[in-house]
Amino acid sequence: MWTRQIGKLVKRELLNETRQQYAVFGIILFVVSTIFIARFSFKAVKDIPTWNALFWIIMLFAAVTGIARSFAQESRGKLLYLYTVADPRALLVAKMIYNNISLVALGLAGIAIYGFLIEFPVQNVGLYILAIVLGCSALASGFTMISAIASKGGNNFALMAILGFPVLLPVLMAGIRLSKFAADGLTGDGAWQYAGLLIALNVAVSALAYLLFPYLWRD
Amino acid sequence: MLRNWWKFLGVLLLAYSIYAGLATPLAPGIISAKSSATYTSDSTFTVTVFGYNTRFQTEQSGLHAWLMNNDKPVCAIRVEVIDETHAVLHFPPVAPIKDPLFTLKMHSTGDGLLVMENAIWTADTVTAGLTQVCQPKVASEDQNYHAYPFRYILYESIRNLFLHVPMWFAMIALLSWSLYNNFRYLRGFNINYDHRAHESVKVALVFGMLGLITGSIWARSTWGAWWVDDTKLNGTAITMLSYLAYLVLRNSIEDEQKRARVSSIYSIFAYVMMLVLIGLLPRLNDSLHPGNGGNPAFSNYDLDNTMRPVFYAAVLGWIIIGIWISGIRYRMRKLKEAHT
Repeated sequence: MWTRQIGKLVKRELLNETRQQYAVFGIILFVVSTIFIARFSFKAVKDIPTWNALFWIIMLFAAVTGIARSFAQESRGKLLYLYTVADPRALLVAKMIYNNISLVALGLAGIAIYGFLIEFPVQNVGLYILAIVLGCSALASGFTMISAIASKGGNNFALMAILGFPVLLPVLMAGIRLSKFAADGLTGDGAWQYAGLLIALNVAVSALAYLLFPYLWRD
Repeated sequence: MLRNWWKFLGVLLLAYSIYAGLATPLAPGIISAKSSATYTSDSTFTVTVFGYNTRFQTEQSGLHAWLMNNDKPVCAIRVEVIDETHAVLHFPPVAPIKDPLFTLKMHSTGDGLLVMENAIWTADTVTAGLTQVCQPKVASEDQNYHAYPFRYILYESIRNLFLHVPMWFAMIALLSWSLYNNFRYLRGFNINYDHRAHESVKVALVFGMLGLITGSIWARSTWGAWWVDDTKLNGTAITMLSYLAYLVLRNSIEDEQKRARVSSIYSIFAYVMMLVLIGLLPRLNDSLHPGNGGNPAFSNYDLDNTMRPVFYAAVLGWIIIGIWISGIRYRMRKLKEAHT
């Protein structure tokens, strides 16, 4: 019952996205043009920490712009309809799953473009990709909840950033540290500590969102 | 009257911590020691000592001084006292055993044992070792006065411990109080609990600001900069940003019940992330703060006797005052709403 509901809702999100293709292309274009701006303003990024941090900042803004629409795009009537036919929690879980998939895909595409256009000084590629998957997944879970909160408060993009940035900073910091380890080719306790932290943060954020969402959706 | 016993307790604790925190003197210590010779093994040399809160003149008869190198002492031939905080020590020629650094120690019955680690440096390369070894006369190393420990670099600013650290305790206590009220609100949707939570967040932010200001001044005098790149500092700054975002979120929603619901949820979110930021991340990173990254915590040696009760009183006192202020603000708000 539950899994079928969630599956249907995820499918609905996918359908929505394929129908309004400008949204998907829009976010990809956003990432590409930001990377171009970075390329033209930095010329060459020699310093690995700077290179790494720049990528994560681009991903952070991509996540905000991409996920801000998550709840805001639904009209009041459509949301009301969805809440009556489905469990509100199932809707949240579906949106989280969808945002997780899309942001991780965007992150992987992003690093490919970023590496191609700027530079790719990573020694441990596998760990770097793991860092992107874990980091983007945790960011997606967090921003889904923030998007639900921000959609109640006037729906503007600035509110999403104001609410999301400080709260999701630990996720971003852990992501940056872990990918820095990967770029330097270091593995060991330090790296796994941050990988564990990212997973723990993802679980904590998702669990909190799941527990608190029933209080949020009612209007 | 009896119902408000905790307010009296708070005022008493705070008064005690402020009085004891400012009135207790700092223990005597050595601020600087200057050697007259670059090479200490050639001839006799003098060391000019500046003390703080010391009583060299009063204790002149029992004043001893010696240098330590690799646990071997060399006594001063003559201690020439100029005034209470100023003395010149005459030493015989000495060559270091291993490290070219000497620790200066002085002792008198009134002042106790004064130590300055690595006070004097010599240009002598490692050679013969000490020429004279003596047995310094130390009756007892115990302090027989009530004073705060003399710490190099910290000096009198050690008293800031009673002001700076309780600010954070009060902030976290108020945020926890706010979290508790958020839960109480979500259980029964009674708007009063939301107002309590809102007021305590505002007071917590004031305490956070005070904590940042006292910390910044302290950092300037000890670490040398107003703001350093420290995980604890950044963590608290980010926590304050997220609670400022909570205030912005509240302003953006008109309906009272909806505002209460949405902001309670955000506040719970922010609290959990604060636990990660100031509880977990500093443990993974180095910090300049005591107790982190190999720095000794205050409790290791300072907080043992004289400072501990004052510190606890200050922490508890400020927490009580903070809760009290937020309660008063809540009642003021109720009255204002009743009037309009």
